[in-house]
Amino acid sequence: MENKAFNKKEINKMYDLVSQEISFFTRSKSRMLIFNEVFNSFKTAKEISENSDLHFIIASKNIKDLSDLNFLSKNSNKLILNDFTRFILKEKEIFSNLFRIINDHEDFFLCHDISQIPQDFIMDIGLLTYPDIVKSLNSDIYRTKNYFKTMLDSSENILVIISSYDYDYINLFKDDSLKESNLKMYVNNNVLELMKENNDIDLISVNKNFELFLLKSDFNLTLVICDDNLLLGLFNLNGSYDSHMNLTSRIEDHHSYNNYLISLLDLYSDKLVFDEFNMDVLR
Amino acid sequence: MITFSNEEKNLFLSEIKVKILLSLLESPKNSKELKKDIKSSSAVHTNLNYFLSNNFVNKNKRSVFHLSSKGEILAINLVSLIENFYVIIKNREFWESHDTNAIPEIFVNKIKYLKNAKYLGLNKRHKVKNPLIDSLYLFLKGENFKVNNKLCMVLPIFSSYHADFLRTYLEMGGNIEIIISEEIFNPFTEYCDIDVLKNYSRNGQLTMWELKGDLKLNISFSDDIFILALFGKNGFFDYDTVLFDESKSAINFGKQIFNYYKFDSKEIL
Repeated sequence: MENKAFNKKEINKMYDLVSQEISFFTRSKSRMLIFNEVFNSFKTAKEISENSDLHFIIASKNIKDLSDLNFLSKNSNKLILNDFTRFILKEKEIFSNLFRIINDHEDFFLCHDISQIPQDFIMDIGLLTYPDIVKSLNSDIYRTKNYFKTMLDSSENILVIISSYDYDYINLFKDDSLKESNLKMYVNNNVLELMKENNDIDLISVNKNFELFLLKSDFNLTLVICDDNLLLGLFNLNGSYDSHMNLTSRIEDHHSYNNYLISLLDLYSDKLVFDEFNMDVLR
Repeated sequence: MITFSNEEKNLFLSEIKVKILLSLLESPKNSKELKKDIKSSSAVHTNLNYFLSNNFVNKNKRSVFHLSSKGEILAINLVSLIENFYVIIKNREFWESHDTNAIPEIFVNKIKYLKNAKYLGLNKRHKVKNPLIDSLYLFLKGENFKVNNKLCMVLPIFSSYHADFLRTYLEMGGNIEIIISEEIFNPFTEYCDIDVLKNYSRNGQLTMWELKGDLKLNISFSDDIFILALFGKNGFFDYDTVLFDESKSAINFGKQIFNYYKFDSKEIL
């Protein structure tokens, strides 16, 4: 099936213009060692060579190339990365991290469908730190659910995107321990209808800080952010939700990440307002 | 910590690998179609074998190659990397001469949304004297200005240029949502007269938030225009060069940054 949203001709053209730069920042291990040495502090060529275990001649040649291309700043005989190079390296590093994550956890990505996930979310996989997989085991089939419960229990700020209704999971949000938490829940139409049918909204909204949002389109994922912990659940290739395998991760700057995610979800959802007497969704 | 990996190096050493991923992201293809699409036949099989053995690509019974979920994630992020590099290289002069640390880290890999941005600088020949302020006044001109058209702005510094422009915008009946840094509340409200601002706020034309903490980035956007201005390397706010963009993606980028800051701001008017 053709991916109509993707303009290959335009991307190929862009790639032709930047392929040398991308290659420059990814192909040389010596250059990476130098970047790390001068990332935050001024160093002489000798210090760079000694700290990075690079032969002085190799270090000097690379330093000269980088200086000629204005990727390093100089103060007397000491060098440091300039902001522009740091900016490029941040881009490169997000991609490198993504590459590592999908290779290290390929079992998780290979068996799940990502076709219904907005690209912004796919691009953010490279922002995760120390990801891991939580799997249900034959000897412990509730392992993923228990992990989820533990994540919720200890959290002040919870943001959750739910695309597949599971009564057991929804029930966790009714727990008394979450009464004081800030809970933002993003659901699709199907989940909303089932929540109404099962009176979930009444029970969850005991929490005064509960906010419910309706997603404008279907996202096939579950994403839970509890303070600095993240859990990602995806749909199997056969279309069913996989509640037995999740990707988990820490979020380094969770305050920023939360703000960012909410600002992103603003584009994809509408906040729902309830009738406070019978909890009907007004809009 | 900047990392190095041989796999990443291999991906970018060969342009064919990148072109195969882009081609398969567009649509699944058999090897003949793939060779035709990437206009090369020499190393297609070797590179396809690399992708097959590393589970980025699958081959079905009819010998059609398609991306696995893992391959699709890689390809989508590859596109994003290319676009981000393109935005940086295309406007290198702008990024090189400004404080890029002002862009929140979480948005660094989203600058691709500015791929259509134009770099506007001082140009005496074309009588551009103040690119930032001249660009702002475009909000008021022609089809760009409609009464009730909302202008959103994140403003880190006080200047009479901005204040005069905002006053004109309000006088013409426009709506403004503005996030200002805590430090500029006093000079801003003194210059514009707090009572006048309160009136605009009461009749729904003005909403103002105050943000505590570090704010070094100036964005302005409406439904039609997005403008980015930053501090220069010399530490002074730069009115002389801006990135100007009329695309939907840049405006959405602006909305996201605006909402990102709004979350930590206090509504004051």
